[in-house]
Amino acid sequence: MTTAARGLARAAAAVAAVGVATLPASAQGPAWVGAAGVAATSPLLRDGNGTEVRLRAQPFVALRAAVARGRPHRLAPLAAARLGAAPVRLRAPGAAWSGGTAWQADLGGGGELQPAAWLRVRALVGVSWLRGPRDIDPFAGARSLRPTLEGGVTLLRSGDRLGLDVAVQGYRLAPRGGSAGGVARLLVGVSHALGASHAR
Amino acid sequence: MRGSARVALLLAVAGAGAGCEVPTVPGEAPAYEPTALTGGRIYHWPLGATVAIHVHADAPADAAALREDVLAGTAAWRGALRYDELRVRLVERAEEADVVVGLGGDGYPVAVDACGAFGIAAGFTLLCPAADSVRTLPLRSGATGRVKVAVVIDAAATPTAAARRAVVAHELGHAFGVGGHSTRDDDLMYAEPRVAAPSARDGQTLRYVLHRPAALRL
Repeated sequence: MTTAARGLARAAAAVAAVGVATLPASAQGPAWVGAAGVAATSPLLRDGNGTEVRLRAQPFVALRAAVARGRPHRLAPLAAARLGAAPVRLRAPGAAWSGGTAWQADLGGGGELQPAAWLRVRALVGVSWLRGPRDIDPFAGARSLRPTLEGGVTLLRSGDRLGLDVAVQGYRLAPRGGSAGGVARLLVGVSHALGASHAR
Repeated sequence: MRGSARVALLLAVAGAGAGCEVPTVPGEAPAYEPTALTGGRIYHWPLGATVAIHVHADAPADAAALREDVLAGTAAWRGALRYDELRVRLVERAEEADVVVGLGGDGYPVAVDACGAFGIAAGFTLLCPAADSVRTLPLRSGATGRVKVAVVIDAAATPTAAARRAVVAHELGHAFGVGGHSTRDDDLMYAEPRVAAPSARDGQTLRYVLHRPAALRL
């Protein structure tokens, strides 16, 4: 296990411990939220010969479940899943070409706070499964599963179940024969509370 | 630590991850001189382009075997690439082809005396430089075509299936952009190829060529 993976595992354990330790005896059922939007991703790879591998705008759908715990300013345990797909775009000096489609699935757990009626803040650790054309690096040769960190906010209108989601996700990617580096995703979308137990 | 402080800490860590250096792969130098046969000029197809190849042989059985050789050769070369820089499709008519691969003879569809050629005894690759590009080669039928590269295989000089497959793969290396020969006999681009698939050194050399600006555009 790498240092980064060990750090992520410790952070995940800490978040889980916080959630468990603060669960009230009268915890309600989970509040489900569905979301959809678009993600922008930083370059997946730069080749010293001049090629850059990127993902185009990546539509995604997501589902989150937070355990409502009476007092909204307390940290609520949160689980989330997301699936996105994007065309792979390759660029080199004087050339650009398409490389098929990449899929990304994320699974995470963490905590969510509601410090104000119009705002929710969340942080998650998890794993991301990234799969793309096998004849293109970094999809060829790199591991498909990798740990991730994510932070996000949801802006809510009072009395409205609809929200504006903004999140940043980061993970490390190690291409074959190269140096590992960071990849960041900016995710923007709308979310909608599902079911009757959303109000906290 | 309060809950909001923990969330802020995780947000900061996620942001820091985002700011890391991009994953990188170092650049490569060619394993051997890739422009020795073209006077120092690099040529290649536009990156990401699909190259249409027409396979020709007078006898249907020869055409079928040659087609298999071309498919094997292109798959081997494509396997050496990292970014799907070059795609290939086979076409039925020479008029639709960018490259013609065929057994030499009267039925060969391209006028191969159009200009200079380079290759080996068992096969050669023909392209006609013109300023910063490559001329379209005339078809013997008189039809308008778009053939830029002609590969001619000498059937008599490739008496075995293995020999022919190696020569076809070697000439495809020239057709895709390697304008030179290796001095090592374990490389496909050795002047008298003994293997039918590009070595790591061949792949390295083609990758280098493809990512340099082309002095001759195909």
